[in-house]
Amino acid sequence: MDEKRNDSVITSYPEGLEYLAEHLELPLPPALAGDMEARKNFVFSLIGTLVRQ
Amino acid sequence: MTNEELRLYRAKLFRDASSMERKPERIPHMSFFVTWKILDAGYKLSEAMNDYGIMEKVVRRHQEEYGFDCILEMGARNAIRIPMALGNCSYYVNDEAGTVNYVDKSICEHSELRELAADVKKFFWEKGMARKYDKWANGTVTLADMQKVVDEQASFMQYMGRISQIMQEEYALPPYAAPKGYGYIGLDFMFNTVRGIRGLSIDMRKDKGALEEACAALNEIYYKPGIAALRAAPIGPAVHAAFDYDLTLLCHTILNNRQFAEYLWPYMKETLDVLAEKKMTVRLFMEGSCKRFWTYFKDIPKGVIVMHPEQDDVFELRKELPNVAILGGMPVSLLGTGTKEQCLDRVKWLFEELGKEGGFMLTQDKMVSFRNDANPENVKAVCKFVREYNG
Amino acid sequence: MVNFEELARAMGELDEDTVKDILGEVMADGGSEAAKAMDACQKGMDIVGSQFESGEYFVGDLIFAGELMTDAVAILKDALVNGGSEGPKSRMILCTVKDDLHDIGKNIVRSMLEAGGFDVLDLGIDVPPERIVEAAKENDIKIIGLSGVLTLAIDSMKNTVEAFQAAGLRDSTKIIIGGAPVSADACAHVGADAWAINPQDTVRICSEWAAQL
Repeated sequence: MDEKRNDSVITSYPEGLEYLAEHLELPLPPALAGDMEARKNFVFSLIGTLVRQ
Repeated sequence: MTNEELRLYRAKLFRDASSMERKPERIPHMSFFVTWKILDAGYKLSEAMNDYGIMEKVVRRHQEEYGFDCILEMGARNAIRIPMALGNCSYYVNDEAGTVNYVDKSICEHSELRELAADVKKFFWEKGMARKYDKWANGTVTLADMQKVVDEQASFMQYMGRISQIMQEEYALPPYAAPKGYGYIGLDFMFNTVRGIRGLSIDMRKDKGALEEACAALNEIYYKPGIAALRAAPIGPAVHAAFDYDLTLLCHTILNNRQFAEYLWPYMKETLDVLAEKKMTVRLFMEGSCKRFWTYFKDIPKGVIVMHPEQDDVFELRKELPNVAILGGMPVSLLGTGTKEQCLDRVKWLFEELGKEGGFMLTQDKMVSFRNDANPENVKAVCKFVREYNG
Repeated sequence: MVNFEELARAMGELDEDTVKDILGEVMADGGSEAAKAMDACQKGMDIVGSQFESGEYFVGDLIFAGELMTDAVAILKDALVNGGSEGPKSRMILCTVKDDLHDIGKNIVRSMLEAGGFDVLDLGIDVPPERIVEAAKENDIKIIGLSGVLTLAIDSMKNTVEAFQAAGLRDSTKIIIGGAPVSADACAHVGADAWAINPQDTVRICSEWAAQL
């Protein structure tokens, strides 16, 4: 994975989504851990939860 | 009876009552107690809402003290640890008063509806998050912050899995619902999260076109996939659960009849039709009063809708909608300020008038939240009566 | 020539564009007819109230009407003398009681009361009993409206009535309660003089009291 970190992109879309999907440790099943689409879906779903709180 | 047999027996009570064709062996009793049970257990709200170990004790004790057939809320309602990981929360917890208030905040201006419609994900990501979370707004959110959020959500999911398993295996309670998909109607989403009460009221009159576009965009992400999943599910109810689906709606509380018919009913009808086709039940809770919309439900087949009225009269509901099962009937006002005898008289009346031929399940009319909402002795008396009633 | 009947109709139909166009016409000469325009807007709010009672309009429409009325007042206010009506207005206090943060219903009722000729002192939300009593004393206000949505609002309303009793003001004050949890039983429990879940009823009851006090 790309180790370059730049937290300042987090609040931008879609750069932030890609950044977080790449760098966060996500509780996905092993089969999906490397699946970028699944990772992005998980992260966006989390954002949806945060917005709905 | 083993715990598994008792759990399935309880689920069957709800299923039989919901069918409107089979009389259950006895009338089932669901708990609609929310934050009240935290206070009843002697904890502060903030203690239980921040500590899943304490919340587990609260839920266990709630069942041990009272003995329900199903518990709707097991600590999921106010998952404040997740947003607090990012530093802000829309809930205001007042431990002194024993209250949780929700600060109604609009994350979208009226003038931004078309921007939202054009790209929901971008809008939520950049503007929605900034309006909810200071760290997002001032650009200081870090990867570490977001990892904390992920971890808190994982902890929450673990808690929910654990408490669900505990209540099923140790306390023989069926799960409240087991949906095979969920369609979140765009207009309700707008009401609950995006625009709020005041905002949506303004949008309805100021620029219906922009509102329609925004709702359509939300439906693409949050409603259509869920309904598609429901359509793809095999036919047949989840007999191990009390109900198949939960439909809790709030936006109708501001809609006039014309707006309801145009903007909300089509989606409710689609959902109900799919559930009917799948032979699934839905516990329908429309906040406040929904009596002016009862006529819409007249043609829904028996065995689909279990209506849980908050303000409307259950006896009137039975008369007007004989095709709809009823969950409810126990006024919180009586549990709180009535005598034990008054509470039991009410339950007897409900059972005799509404439950004799099936079609009735008992629960509280409102979410039981505050300390004085219910007198524990009244709750115990009602629970005991329900268990022993053989009418 | 400003068409005040059209203004009332437009307000009643929640036709924002027409309302604002006509108000623009009124203010074109500095607002010499601002008071007539205000009366027309108030007539329009009466129409809104009637539409609500008949079931045509619902809460969302009342909220929008309140916003439109607020905008109308903002447009006319510099030209209005003495609030735009003849003679002193009846005053009353309105608030959401302690531990309750809801204000939508209260704000709808406030708009309707103001349209009905009241000068409303809105104390806001989560207002403790002693503050309400103090405001009533300081301003010599005898009509009090208490709003709440949560079930615990009933306890706060009761405490407020008792605070008026303790302050020796209960007999000279009229108290009305409103909101989702209120009922005849709740009113008796609280010790209020009246209850309403409909803004038109609130305006009617308070107007009757204002005429007597």
